[in-house]
Amino acid sequence: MLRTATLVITFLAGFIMIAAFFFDVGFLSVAEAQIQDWGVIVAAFALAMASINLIQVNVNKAVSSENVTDKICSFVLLASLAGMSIIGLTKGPTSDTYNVLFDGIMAPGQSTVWALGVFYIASAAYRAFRVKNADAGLLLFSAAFVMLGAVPVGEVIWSGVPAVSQWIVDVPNMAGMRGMLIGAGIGAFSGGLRLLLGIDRTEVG
Amino acid sequence: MLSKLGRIDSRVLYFILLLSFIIPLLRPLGLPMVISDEVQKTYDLIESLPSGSRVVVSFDLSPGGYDELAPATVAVFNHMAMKGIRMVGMSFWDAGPSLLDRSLAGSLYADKEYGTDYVNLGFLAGGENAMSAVARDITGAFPRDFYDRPTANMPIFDGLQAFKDVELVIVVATGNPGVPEWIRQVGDPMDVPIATIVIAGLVADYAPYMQSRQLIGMIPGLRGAAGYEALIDMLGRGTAGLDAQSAAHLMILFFVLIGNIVYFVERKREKDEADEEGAAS
Repeated sequence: MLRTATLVITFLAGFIMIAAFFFDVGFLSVAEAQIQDWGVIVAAFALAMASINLIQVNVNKAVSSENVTDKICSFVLLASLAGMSIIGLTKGPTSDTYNVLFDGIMAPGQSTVWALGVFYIASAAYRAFRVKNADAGLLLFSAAFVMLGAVPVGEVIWSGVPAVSQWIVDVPNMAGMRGMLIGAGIGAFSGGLRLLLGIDRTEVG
Repeated sequence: MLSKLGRIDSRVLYFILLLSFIIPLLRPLGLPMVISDEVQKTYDLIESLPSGSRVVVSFDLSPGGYDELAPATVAVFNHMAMKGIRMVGMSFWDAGPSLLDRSLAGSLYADKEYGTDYVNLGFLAGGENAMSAVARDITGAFPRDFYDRPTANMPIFDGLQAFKDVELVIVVATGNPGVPEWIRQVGDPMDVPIATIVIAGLVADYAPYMQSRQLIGMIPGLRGAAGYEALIDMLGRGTAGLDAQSAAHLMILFFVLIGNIVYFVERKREKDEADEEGAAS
């Protein structure tokens, strides 16, 4: 019974959204707006659910894991989650305390991790980017021109670098990206249709 | 010598790369500036908007990507503020509103009046679905702003209910939800022009949207920021960082070149040794 009800609700919600997109009919637009508002509320609950799941997993690790590093990492994560949540809920996300934690720990931490990527890329490029065959040669040639074309030094080396770089992005890259986008679009349409018609029932378990 | 070079410690590479960033930051190379078509189009569009126009800026990014996008964001905000354009800021990423506050504080909007010239509406969960809901009814989806003030009575929303009343949407993006979602939910169905300030790593992904005119402007990372700063004649962090980025790109390509020289020389030596062993036996 619950399974059938879930499938019917899924079909109706999806059908109304599709119909409202194509037909400008009063009651369909009202229903579409209502469903979107519900969607926003459900997404907010999903964030709360994700937090609960994160707490469950990490409390288990902090208590029962035999690996000391795992225990410490889980404890730090739980303390951070609790600290930011309590301050955010009691003082608000614009309070000085919240801003100190955001600007002093969270933002620089994420920026550091993001910036470290370039060092790993450089090291990996040195050790693994080998021209072992024609395909790898083509990849290296494209990468070199796109990298140099993205910065002013490319034009200093040779005035044709920006034009070659732009051609690589606009022609071969564009063709590949469009193929992927069209493929992903057809896949999304097919997946949506399977969900709406109840062929794919993974969401009802 | 070459075999030692092949087994060089990663930390040595990290140090050389670090130097390649730091030296140009301390002693700029003064490389010539190139303003790309995408940047020029974004500038032209904002320049063509009359004073009092309303532009939505969606801060869909993480703190990790913010440092790359901040110079371009501040440059665009300065241009908009100089033109008297009103800015409606929002985010569909949880860290977005705090980062938007940082950019606003560093731009000419800091001297403008909150609620009249600009507003930070905060974060709304729900990604693509939430974008569509906001586009239909802005103050309905954001009844209170980031500072918990009611939005309905703010002067900036006089005569502004939905995105059909907005002249432009600028998406500051580092990932998903971001530009494709805005195009699907707002740009195409509502015929609202969309431009983006995006990390350099996503330029190739979004190039098809530029060619199909679903995106009317794109400012890629530091290079875009430097170009925009030159256009508005207010040089800032984008221009300062561009020499460092040039040096880093050159250094990575140099590493690849050295790595391949080592690879080919060692492969040739192994082949010669194998040939000699074969001849001896």
